[in-house]
Amino acid sequence: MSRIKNLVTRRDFIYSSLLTTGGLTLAPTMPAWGASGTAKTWSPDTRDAAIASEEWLNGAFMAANPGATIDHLNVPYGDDTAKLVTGHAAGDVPDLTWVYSDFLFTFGLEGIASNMNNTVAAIGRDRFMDGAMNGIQVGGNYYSVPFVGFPFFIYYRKDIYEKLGLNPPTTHEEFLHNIEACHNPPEIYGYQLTNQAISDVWNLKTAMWTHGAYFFDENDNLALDRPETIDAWNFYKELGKWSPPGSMAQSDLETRALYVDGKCAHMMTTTSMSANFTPDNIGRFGAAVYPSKPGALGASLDFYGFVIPTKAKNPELAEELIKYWLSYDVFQEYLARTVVGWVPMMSDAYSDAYLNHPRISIVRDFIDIGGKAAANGVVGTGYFGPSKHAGALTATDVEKQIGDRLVVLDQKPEDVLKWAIDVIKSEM
Amino acid sequence: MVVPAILLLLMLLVAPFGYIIFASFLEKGSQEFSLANYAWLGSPLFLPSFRNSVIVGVGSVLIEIIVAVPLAILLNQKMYFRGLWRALITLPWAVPTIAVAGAFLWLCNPHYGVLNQVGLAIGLLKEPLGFFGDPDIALLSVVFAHAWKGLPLVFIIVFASLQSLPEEQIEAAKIDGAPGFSQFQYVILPHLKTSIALAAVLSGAYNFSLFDLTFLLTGGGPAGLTMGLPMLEYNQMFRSLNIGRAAVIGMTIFFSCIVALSALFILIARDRAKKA
Amino acid sequence: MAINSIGWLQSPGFRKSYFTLLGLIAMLLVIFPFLWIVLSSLRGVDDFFSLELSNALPQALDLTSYKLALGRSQLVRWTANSLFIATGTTLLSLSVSAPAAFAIARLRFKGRRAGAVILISSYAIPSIMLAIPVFVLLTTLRLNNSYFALILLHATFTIPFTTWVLQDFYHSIPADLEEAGYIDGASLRQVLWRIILPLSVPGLLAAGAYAFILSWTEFLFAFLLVQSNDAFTAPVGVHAFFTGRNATESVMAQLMAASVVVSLPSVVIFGYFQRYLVSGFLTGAVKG
Repeated sequence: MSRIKNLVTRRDFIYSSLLTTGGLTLAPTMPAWGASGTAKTWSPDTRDAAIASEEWLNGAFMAANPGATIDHLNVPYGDDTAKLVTGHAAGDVPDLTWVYSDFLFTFGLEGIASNMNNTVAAIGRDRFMDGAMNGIQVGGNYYSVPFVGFPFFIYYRKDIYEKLGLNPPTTHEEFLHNIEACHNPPEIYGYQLTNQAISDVWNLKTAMWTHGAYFFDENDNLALDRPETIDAWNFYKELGKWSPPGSMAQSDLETRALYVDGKCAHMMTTTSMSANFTPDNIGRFGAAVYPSKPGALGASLDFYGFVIPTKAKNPELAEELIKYWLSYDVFQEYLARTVVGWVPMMSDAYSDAYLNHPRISIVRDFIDIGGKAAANGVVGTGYFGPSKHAGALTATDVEKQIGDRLVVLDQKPEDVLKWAIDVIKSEM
Repeated sequence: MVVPAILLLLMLLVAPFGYIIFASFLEKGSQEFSLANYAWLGSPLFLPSFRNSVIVGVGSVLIEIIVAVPLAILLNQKMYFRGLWRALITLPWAVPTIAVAGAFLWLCNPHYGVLNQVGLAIGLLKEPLGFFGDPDIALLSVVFAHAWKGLPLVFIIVFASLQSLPEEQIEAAKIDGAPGFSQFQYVILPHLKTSIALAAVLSGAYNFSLFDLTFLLTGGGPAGLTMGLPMLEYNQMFRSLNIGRAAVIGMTIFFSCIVALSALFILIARDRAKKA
Repeated sequence: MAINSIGWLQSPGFRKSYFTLLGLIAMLLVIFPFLWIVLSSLRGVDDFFSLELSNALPQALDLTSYKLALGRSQLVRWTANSLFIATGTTLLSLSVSAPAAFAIARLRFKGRRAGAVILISSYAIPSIMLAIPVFVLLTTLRLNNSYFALILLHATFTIPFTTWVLQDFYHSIPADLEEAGYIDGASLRQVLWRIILPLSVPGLLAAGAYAFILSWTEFLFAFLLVQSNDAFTAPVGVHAFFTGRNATESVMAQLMAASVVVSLPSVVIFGYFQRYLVSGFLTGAVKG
């Protein structure tokens, strides 16, 4: 006993306790080689492939990091923002969630989403596609890490085009001409103009961007009162003329069904619709980039991005998860498993292996067009990048109302313009 | 006995309510007392929403009463399967709102919904009816959906009250030689008056302040034509992140319901005084 | 001859059948939307969005949509959750509001007016308004993760209504009955238990039905408080898995199936209890 006492002197004892305490306090800050702890994650997409791919990813991550647990929750799309806002007020937020263009800027500016510059840098800024990254910078900062995108473009019925001898449109006029040529109600309508729910005002947005019209200019001033806006809105009204009754209230599902059933010759949506095509009907469908006026940007671009809320309890583990998710090999495997038509936001992900994967290769043409469309697409509502007034647009639902007033209520663009400016100003 | 109830409510309702009142005087982003949020009540967004909510509340109740009262009387008669009918009538209640919205949207779908398909097939319609997307009938469709959802409440209250009407009164009326309809008018209806009023105000206030159904059906409707106060409040709170304005809208809903409830109170008190 | 046929028309059996028919027609009309959900759920998932009217009704009983819906999600678990919470809410709500309603209706005590007013005005509060402060409160109390919190919250919203309905009900019970009880030497508690309670069953059922339904279909707070996929209530689960952007035709069919599954428990419960809504108790209770 006395020998042991001699071996372990008081000094040794103090040293070892200091070391232990120091080690314990430093441990959380050490680079998570073998990350640990529990991270709560949310995701809003409940399509089978989305759920399966995420489950696979979480499992793989936990296998690679034995000390880590990912606690995942599915939240209904659209309501997840309400849950995040409420959770933020109470201090109870997940460590990782997905965000899409509408609310990204609000969250960043309201301090709900944390600054992701470090994560982006760690992954490698140049791996991401320029267009998307430029479109989501708020005051020089990134508040989310985009990983998959949904570029919008035109789908047309190839079989009808062949029958009528039409070519894919390259200008707005050609587009309208083709629509009119296919229009033969009630068997078939030329277009389907849709305006349902806050996230489906893409038709209006795209009509505006491709005409060089926008809500806020480079200096964040309201810049609706320009001739380009009137042109865009007149074009939009034209599209409405060739659409079936009630199309403005149609859900995405219905719109796609009508197109596939041959009741409408054109529609505008994202790459993910192509995932529903089967080998026996895919020959009837074709895609084209939405035409733009010279100098104007292209169609809308939506995306899913990772967000780490500011009040997250375990942001380090969340960051590790993101880095793992987007590491080259893991991401390739994820893309192969997830919803077909989710276009990667990282340029190096468009590998041959990805494009030739059996699930992807069937719709390769559509993914191609998606890539072209994403090149000069506009993210969310920010033609010149995110505006701090984006919240004013979403709060008043003004984009949806503009669309409805123009087409459903058949008002003149000039009148709607006046109304819109009043409403937006009252919220700014 | 009343004490636990009051305590429970105080904690979970009154305290947050107090916070909301407090928040309604704060403009977004500032800490000083201001009436800006109340001034906003005059904005072009507010009044139309208020009007729409009133239409939904009052309209749905009218439909509910017109359907429920005769139905209650009918189901009070002797018949086979009476129990089954009475159980089935509570179905609209049992179905969660999301399913109600799904059902109505599916039924009324312009291309794939059975109502339009049948209407077109029999020649009643030349073009599909937009229902929830049609600017002329969207609000009416929303009213109807609310009426369907709230029907069981009115039915149950009216039916329970009908049950408590002693048989003797009806028998007496029959003996006195009163024809069927007079029975209804002079015996049944006065007895039901209070319960109809009760059901009307309860259901009306509920439909007036209901957010879920309108949101799921139209999301504010064509050009905001079905946008009501609850949805406006939701937008302000969770999209605009402006709790002050949301608070003010909530207060409006609250006070409107209070007014309706008070009217009911007075009616009941007067009725009771008459009976005494 | 003429007299005989009139007699037949007025026979009780005919009247019964006639009313049964009327009842049937009325029921079909009233529950038509739900009926349509059921029929649609039996159509299977192929070509759910079909332009042909002939496809509107199921050709054969196809349970694919049920299989898919149940396979993709934990629908049964969620329905069970909802059942648990709704039952808890109803019991809590009734046990608090029944005595309270009786006290307000019958007894005289200080603050009775104030209590009644507070209780009833609580009905007018829209629940969205309180979403954020209540959630903050519950989180601070560390109650934001349990079923109990949800039951408590739901009960808070239903108590005003149940108290009021019961109070109204108690008013319509003649005071003579209690008088008779007191005269016979019974205590307050005995009066409550033996006389009032049996008579108030219809009222309790009506109020209880409302409480059950409110809790069953409540979405906002169930959604805000949920922390794991297991703990979804039925509305939240259906909302998350069977609706939303980019749903496929198959998911739409599954929504129909899920709606039916999720509505079943309430229907069964109501079916069982509705017979108690009939009250013949008052007849002949107080005579002379």
